[in-house]
Amino acid sequence: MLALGTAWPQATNGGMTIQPIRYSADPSLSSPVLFFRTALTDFAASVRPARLFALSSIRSRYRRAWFGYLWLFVPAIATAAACAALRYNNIIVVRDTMIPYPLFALTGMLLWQGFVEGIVMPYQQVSAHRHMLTRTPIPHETVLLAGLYDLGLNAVVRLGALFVLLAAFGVPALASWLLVPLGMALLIGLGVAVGLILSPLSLLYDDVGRAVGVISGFGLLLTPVLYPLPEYSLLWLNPVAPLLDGTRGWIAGVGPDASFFVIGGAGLVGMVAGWLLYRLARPRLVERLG
Amino acid sequence: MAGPVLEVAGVSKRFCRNLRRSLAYGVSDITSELLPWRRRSSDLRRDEFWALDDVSFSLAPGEAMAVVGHNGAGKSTLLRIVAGLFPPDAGEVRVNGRVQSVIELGSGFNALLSGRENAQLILSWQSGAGHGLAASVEAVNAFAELGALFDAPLQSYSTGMRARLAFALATQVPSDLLLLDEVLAVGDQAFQRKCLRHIRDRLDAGGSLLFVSHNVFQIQTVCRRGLLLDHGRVTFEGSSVDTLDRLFESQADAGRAEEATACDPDRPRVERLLAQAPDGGGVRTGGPLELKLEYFMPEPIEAAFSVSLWTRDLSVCIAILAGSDSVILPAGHGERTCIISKLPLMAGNYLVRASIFDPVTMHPHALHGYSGPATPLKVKGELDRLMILRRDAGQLVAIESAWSDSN
Repeated sequence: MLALGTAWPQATNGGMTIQPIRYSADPSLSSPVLFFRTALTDFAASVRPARLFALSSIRSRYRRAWFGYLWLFVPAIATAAACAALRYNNIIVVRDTMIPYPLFALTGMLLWQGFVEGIVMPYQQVSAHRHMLTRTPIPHETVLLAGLYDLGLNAVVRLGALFVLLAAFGVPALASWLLVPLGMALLIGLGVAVGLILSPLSLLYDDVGRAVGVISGFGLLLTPVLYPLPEYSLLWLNPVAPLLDGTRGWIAGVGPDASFFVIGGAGLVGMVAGWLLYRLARPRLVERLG
Repeated sequence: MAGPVLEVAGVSKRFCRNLRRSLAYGVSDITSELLPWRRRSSDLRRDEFWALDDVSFSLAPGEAMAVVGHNGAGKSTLLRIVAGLFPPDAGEVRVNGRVQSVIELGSGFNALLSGRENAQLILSWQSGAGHGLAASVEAVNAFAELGALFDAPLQSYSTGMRARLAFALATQVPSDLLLLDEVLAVGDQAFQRKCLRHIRDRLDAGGSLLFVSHNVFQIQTVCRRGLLLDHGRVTFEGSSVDTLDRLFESQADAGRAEEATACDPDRPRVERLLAQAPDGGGVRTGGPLELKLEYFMPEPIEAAFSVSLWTRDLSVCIAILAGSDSVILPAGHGERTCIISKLPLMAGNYLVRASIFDPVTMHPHALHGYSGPATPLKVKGELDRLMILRRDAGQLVAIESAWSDSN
């Protein structure tokens, strides 16, 4: 049934019959097989558009900025430099670190930024494209995956800047540096998992977004970002601590302990769980965000 | 494709007037999604109302249906449910094929990107175009006729240009069922004609259309069927012409009630305008029509009269019948009559307005049918095949003609 000339292109599916679509009041999980199959189909269909989407978003974002990617690591450099100056003047006391303190603080800041950006990414992506998502049946995975691509690019730029500075400070390059991106990815994954699990609430209530902002502010102080934690401290219960400290350890050639992999794996499982939770909540969000 | 392309069966949707409570219900509904075994109530909760209430209809391949109604009648909600944006709270929708929706023009655009970049982006997920993406993007530009502006940022586009881009994008997405919600309300006349031509081509090729619009001309051009919604309920389903008639009748009823409460007894006014056959029977094409104007003047005044015949949507004035001389009207109640001996109007429903005005300044002393409801005029005619064809084509007047063999 293909139209010719100026006629409208009709739906085809490689010659296959298109399955009827049914929308009803039944909960999505009343047919779990269909739910998971649709989730995977939407995910697969979103991979390519998400890449285009991310590229377009990045282009449009930096089209109006002179300093472009500098904004990704300059704030971290400024914070690290300020902390180094405070420590040098004995205003704050931080014990010796395994790499020069300014680089220690900078690494911590860059990794922390990746984690926090992961938390806010789902909310930011859905909010930024709210108009489109509530008026077109685009799979929301497209904007979420685009957000992940964006986070990945940011991480690459930050790690590139970090490695340049490490070399500039004369820190000897080690094979374990190659594992630092894995640590960064696991931190981002943990952040995205938290963000996705919170997204049904954060998209409905502004309070959640504000609370995340506040918690990520003082969370910086409860996590070994700008200082090393003593060996025995309650702050090690903070799940970000083993991931962040373990990743930074690779720069000095020190391997992480088992908790690094347990929490990293939990973050990845949490991402999948958060995604499925978001899919369940999506129709109810769309009817209230539109 | 056998069977209907769209079946809507007993669909209801509830919304909440109170935002804070709506968010709380949102959390409750999301929790219900996580607990599918928990029975959900389909009753209204506090502050909720039915945006759609037990709506049922079906649409066959090649059919176009107009969905009309007042603002808030549930038209857009219906289209969003059919598009799969959110589920109904009762009933079900079955779509036998691929759906393409243009719910709101330009809703998926990024203002900082060019038209080309937006087209690439949207087509990549809407049509799943891979290798053919570049060709589809060029086809969008060809349809939209944006020229070099296609590569300019969207923030420099006018509303009409955005409309061109949005509709051109819709032409490149394969679908069996197209949903259009007020998308042809902007753009220049030539582009609107082009879009309507395109929709008709699509219908001829077997595609179906669900069309929400307030534009009578566009509805009559593309739709044969109509669905009238009122407060979420289907109040009429039939031909698009009959559906529009019902819509305008309901609007007139609402206007009459409004005018009755807004009448000032001390001002010059048209009290009543009657449109009827002189013998009191029905008005027919080619027959006589009597227009009787009853008025009240609080003081003597020099005035002239006119009545005008309009299409039922008041978008086209068919004729203005102005009295040639002015008269001095005494204070009090009076009547004035205008007779048309052979009414050339085609069978259908029309509206009549009246004006009593100053013959020098043309300033109106009293109006009828402008701020309040106009007088309905129903013209009857023979319902043969030619008449149905003329009515569907939107013919307004019957002009006598004689044909002869020129050879």
